[in-house]
Amino acid sequence: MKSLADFMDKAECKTALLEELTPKSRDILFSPVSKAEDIPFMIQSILSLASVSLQHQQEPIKIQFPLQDGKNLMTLTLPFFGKKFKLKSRNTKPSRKVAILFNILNTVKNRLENGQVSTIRDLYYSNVELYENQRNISFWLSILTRSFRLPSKDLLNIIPAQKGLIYSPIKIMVINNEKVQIITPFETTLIPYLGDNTKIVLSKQANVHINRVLVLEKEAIFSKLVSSRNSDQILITGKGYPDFLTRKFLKLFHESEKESIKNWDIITDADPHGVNITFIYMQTNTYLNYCGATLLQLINLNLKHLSSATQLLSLDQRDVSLTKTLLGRVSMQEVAQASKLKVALQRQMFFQKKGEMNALYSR
Amino acid sequence: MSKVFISTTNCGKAHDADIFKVAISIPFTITASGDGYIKLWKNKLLENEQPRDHYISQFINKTGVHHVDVFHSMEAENLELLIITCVSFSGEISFWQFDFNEKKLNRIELFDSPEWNKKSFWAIKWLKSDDQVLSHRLAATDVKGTTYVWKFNPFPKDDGIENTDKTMTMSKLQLQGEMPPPSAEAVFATCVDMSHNGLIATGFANGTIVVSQLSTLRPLYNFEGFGIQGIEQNSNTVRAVKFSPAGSLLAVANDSGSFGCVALYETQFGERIGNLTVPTHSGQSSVESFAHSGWVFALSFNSTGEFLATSGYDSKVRVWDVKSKERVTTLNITAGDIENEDDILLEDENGDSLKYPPVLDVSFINKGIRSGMNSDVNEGLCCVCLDRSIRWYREAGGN
Repeated sequence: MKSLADFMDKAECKTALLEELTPKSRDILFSPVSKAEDIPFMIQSILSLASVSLQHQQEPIKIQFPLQDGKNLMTLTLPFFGKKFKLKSRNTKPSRKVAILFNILNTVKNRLENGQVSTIRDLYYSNVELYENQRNISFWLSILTRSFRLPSKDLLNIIPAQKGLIYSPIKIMVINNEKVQIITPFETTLIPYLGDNTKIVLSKQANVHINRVLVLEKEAIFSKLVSSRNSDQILITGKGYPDFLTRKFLKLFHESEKESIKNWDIITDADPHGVNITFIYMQTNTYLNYCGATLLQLINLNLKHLSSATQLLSLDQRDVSLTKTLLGRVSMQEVAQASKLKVALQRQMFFQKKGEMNALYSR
Repeated sequence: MSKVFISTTNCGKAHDADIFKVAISIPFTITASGDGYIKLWKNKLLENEQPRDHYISQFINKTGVHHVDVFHSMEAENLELLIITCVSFSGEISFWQFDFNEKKLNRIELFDSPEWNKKSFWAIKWLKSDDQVLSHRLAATDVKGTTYVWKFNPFPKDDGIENTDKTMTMSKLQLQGEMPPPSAEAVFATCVDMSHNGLIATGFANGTIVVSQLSTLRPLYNFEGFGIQGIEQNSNTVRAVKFSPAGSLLAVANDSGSFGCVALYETQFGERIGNLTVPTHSGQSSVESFAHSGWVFALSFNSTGEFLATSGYDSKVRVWDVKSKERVTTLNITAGDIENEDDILLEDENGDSLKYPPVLDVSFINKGIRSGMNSDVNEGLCCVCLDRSIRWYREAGGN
């Protein structure tokens, strides 16, 4: 064992001393994969390299994530060495980061090898103490996606939990490569996971004709309509702001069924968020037809029943600024639906009122 | 006593989206719409001319225009100045000068700094000064509740040099000051008006009105607590404030739930002197003090201050005798009124019925501004409705 004095004798200056004190480490690079099938192999080699250096050669490892432009996304070392160690919270501890990374890598490898798909939430609950929150997992998944240069996060087979719901009076088959998932009729189902070449097929039944697909902002209205058991419409809700999966499902569904189903409608609250939700759906689903709820619909409803069927609320400051931003965004779009959204937003702002869609379905 | 107003002409589908404001100047009736355009409709039409064939259209902003006001004045050297000022939904104020030779609008910049374009303005109001010594003023409110006042001296001659050059540049607006909202937190300032006797009133979405002295911008009175209080669905948003021409009265339009109230205040002591009301139960005296069975969007005094016109969501325009506080006429508007059947709009793009279109703005028209029978001796009215129409009326009879 050398003492510090030995090192100082050997080194002539401060830099040289630092160099001398830095242990020899082994670099582990996350390099791009050419095709998704190579990911398990790549992960395997990273993990085995790490374990060999740590266990057998007792050499620290230095994990790096090179990007396309030659820059390095970050460097992790295990066990930690170097100068820049600042402990802010438990979670920023470098060793902890490596632990999370290796755990995720291991899960990704497992899922890919078995062809299974997990949700981020499942992964989180498998080790709450380690991951601390689901955001950490998404963060590392996007780091992996970037350093493997994958076109989509979904290729890692760990996906955000499904949020959207679908209800259909007719059987829908979701064909993902060879696997077929079935959306059973007259049952509320979570929108299934979709791959890149998923096909959605409506099974044809002679006695049932689907007249429209109705997208709803709110789950409460969705449930209400489900309980009325309409047999000519398919209901979809993204529970507020829709997730990617719901929008993608809608898109694929429209692609395969636009010939047979004529009406594709969307109903959201008569407030700036409602319009924003519609706008977000329309980014990927331009064919959707905005059906309100509009302020005028709600006011007319109140007049018709001579009582307050619904309460109109005043816009608050946040609504006002959202309306303003949205109007700017919607005005950039030169499509027919954009003018509908624009009128709805302008009236909310001018009348200084907003309302919820619930009243339209309370009778 | 009653007055009768008869329709002189109208124009359906005047814009491609809702028309939010109308401003009357001597040459033009000016409308501002959510389609992003303002249109200048010629006032002096010949017997066989239709409004549709005589207007000037100017694109303002893609997000739509909700406020417009006009400044029309004869400045030194007999220079006729017509400046149209618009506020768009993006919050930006823009100024447009009418070129009387070319018959078109040119954008001008009256703000001294581009910083002003970053604010979110809402209402605007010009006050033309007839006194050579006093400057003209522009007032604007923003969505956070601040009221700004600028002084406007387009061609100051303080240097004593006679400037005969017609192409001399116009001076910018000079900020006189700004008034914060009455409460600690931000509240939307919906409307503003200034009077010739030196007052400025701002109305807020929470039902407050602040009347201040225009010369110092110090608040004089706070009016609040209109309508029924304590009910959750009750809202008392102030939608319009208007001083009488002499400035002795302030008319205020505010919501009471889904109804609309109009109250009158005298401005010397800030006393409420009464409400304009219609009986809400048949045959009985008025139980609640409503002026319209819908929100009241606009107020307009006639030139003498004897009459006040109000317009509301209930698709009615009412004219009131200010002294007796009685209704002298009610105009019931339906989409079918429009002369040209092709221009009748019964439904908007979202499929909502516009058969009984809410009246978003109304304005009195002084004698001699519109052409046609008796318009030189009678006043008129102009209103814009949610069916995207403009309707012009004049008082019947002539003496």
